[in-house]
Amino acid sequence: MSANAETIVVARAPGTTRTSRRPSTPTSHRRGAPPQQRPRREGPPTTPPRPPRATPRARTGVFVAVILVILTAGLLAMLWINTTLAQGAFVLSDLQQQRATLIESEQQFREELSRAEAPARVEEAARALGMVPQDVPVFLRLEDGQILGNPIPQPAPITEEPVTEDVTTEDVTAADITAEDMVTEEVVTEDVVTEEVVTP
Amino acid sequence: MSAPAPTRPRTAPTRRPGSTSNRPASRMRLGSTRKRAGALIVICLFILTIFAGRLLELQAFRGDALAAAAVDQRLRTVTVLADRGEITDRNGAPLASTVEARHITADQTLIAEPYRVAQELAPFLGMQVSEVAERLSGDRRFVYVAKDLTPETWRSIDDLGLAGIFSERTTRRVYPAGEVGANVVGFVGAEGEGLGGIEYAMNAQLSGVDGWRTFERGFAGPAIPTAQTSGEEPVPGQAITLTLDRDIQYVAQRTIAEAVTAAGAESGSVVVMDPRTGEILALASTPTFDANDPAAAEQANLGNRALTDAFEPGSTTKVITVSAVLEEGGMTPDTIIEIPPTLTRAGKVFHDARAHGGYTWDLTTTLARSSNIGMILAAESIGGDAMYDYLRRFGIGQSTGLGFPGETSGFLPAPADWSGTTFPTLTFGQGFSVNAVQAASVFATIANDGVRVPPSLVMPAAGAPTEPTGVPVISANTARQVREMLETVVADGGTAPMAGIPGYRVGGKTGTAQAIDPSCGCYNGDTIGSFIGMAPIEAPELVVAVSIVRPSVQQFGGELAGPVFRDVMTYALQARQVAPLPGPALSNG
Repeated sequence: MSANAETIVVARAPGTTRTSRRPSTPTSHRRGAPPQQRPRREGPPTTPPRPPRATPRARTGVFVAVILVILTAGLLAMLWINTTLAQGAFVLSDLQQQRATLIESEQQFREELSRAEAPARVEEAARALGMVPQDVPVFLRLEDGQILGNPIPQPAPITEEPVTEDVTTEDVTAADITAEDMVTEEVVTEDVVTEEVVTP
Repeated sequence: MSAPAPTRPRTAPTRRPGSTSNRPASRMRLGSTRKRAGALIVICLFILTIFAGRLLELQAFRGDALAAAAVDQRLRTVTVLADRGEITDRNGAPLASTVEARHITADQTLIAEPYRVAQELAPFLGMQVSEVAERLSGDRRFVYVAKDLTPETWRSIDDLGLAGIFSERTTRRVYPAGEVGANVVGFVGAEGEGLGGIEYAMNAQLSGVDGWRTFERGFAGPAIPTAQTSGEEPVPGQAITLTLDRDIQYVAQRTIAEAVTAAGAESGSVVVMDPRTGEILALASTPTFDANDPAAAEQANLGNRALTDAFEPGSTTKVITVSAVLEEGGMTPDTIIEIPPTLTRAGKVFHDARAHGGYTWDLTTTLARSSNIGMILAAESIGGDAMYDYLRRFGIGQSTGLGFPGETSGFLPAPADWSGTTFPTLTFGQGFSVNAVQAASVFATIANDGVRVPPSLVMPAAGAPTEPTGVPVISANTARQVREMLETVVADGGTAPMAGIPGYRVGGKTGTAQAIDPSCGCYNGDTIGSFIGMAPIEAPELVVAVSIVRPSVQQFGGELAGPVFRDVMTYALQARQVAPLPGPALSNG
């Protein structure tokens, strides 16, 4: 609309302020020039109403085409933005879900860890390694290497089971848990993918 | 949105009459063209009026309500649960924490074959198939199938794709150390509210404020990106740090449990205190329970006996008598007391634990050998009022200030209510009652050079002002004298040589008190064996109080509780890095 108004203004103006405008706004003049010349050429020889009809129609056609292009571009841009946003929403919810899953696993591992480091379990493990409680406290002072207290060897511990077995079984369970967790995470992402496919 | 709908019909009918009336007008048989056009216009106007009316109704009159209803369909408000505060020990080891959990729910109307669904579901829930099937059959729209499952288990169930099975987000309280500290930490109920111990006492601080979130969402679930979301973040509960040391607590619990079992006793308790700060490092009560499953425990085991049970302390009270006598009576540890075989006061004959002839003992020996008669005679040098005054100042009959649920303040009769035998009875620890923490606090006062620091279980929050709240009870000199007297109790001639620890100077006092039978209010031979001691004597850093209630074996407190004291103290000294004296082993045991 604004472009059209501009051309009209320029077309009406030439007779009066042509010379003054030329140096200051060359671009507006260039744009304004063709429509300015056309009506002039066709204006004087024939009567005003008929011949101009054909040219405004053509101009309207161009105008409509421009509008359509702008509209289409705008709509496409809107579509693109909306699609991107929607896609973002899916990614967001996917990541949120992943985050929740990871928080849950972290909590679970923390809980397992704190259960594993509970004093009763540590004592059990220490005894399995053949360790015994120190009945006679003895300290080694690091500054001067002095032994505080009277070091009396503790009686030999009674070991029943080999130590290595315990350690390996625990390792295996830990590995199992992480493997299972990975699997469930994969499943979650797969779910999201199918959702994306369904919605469009 | 509804505006374009009515405009479409408006353009359609206007175009049609124009085209139809033009062409077939020449062949028309019925009436004139003008009449038909008129009729059409009237019909069109009528239809348009209806449309306009409907439009007016939808847009103007019900517009807001309908728009709101449309938003409502997409809007979803969810409660964001606030995490309950964690409870940790003094070193940050978790004693109670909160994790995500799921309740499994079902819509029974959506389940056609409950038994088949139950068969798939039961292995995940750890329940019987028939039990699950029972919960799934019926026509209720909402029913809980199982509670407090891990999120991982729910994901496995969700993957089965069973119709009518849903989950509800919740949180679960876990106690990683199980029984360790359970009698202090307490437990929570089904709704996550504190029902025992610190969980109950500090429920307001621990439980946060739930938040909420409202968002518009599409059919598939994710939030609509451009729509507005609103909500309030949950305020998580405050974390609480206890003064307990989880490892010392564990050793105390294990040791007392073994001793109680070995002695065939009813119950037992251990208190470990840092006398300089009043901080309780361990507060064990046995039998105990697993905080993860309080429902499985006996009601009596859920509390903390060290705080909720009052008992007559017996001979451990003699340190108060001796302190008062040294402070007020002009006596010294070397003052000689002539102790007759029996003593009659207000018509009652008092004996010592073991029958004996006449003794000539100094005050130190009188305490070390725990003579009741000697104590009565010593206390008579200061009188009943001064004795009562010292009992009060040591905290007898007064609340410990811990604010623990179900805590007892014990009982101390006021001088106005005393009978003739009350005063002599009080001097050796009968006729009044205390809880185990109060008893430990008496020794902590002596350990802390006569300054009584109130016991504490919860570390003050960061930034909170910490003022020294110690109250002087006896002079530092008297406290030191009493400590040195206590050392002789653990020496070979004393009542508890088995409480000695090589490399440390240890002092303490045994007690074998008569326990009242609540059914008859009389003494029926049941006893409470106790030992309260401290180490190292020169500057005590730890006080340990052990009591074993109603042992089935006939033993004195020193024999029963002494070894428990030694084991717990030995571990606590190492855990607190209290080094033994340099050089060759110095043992008073």
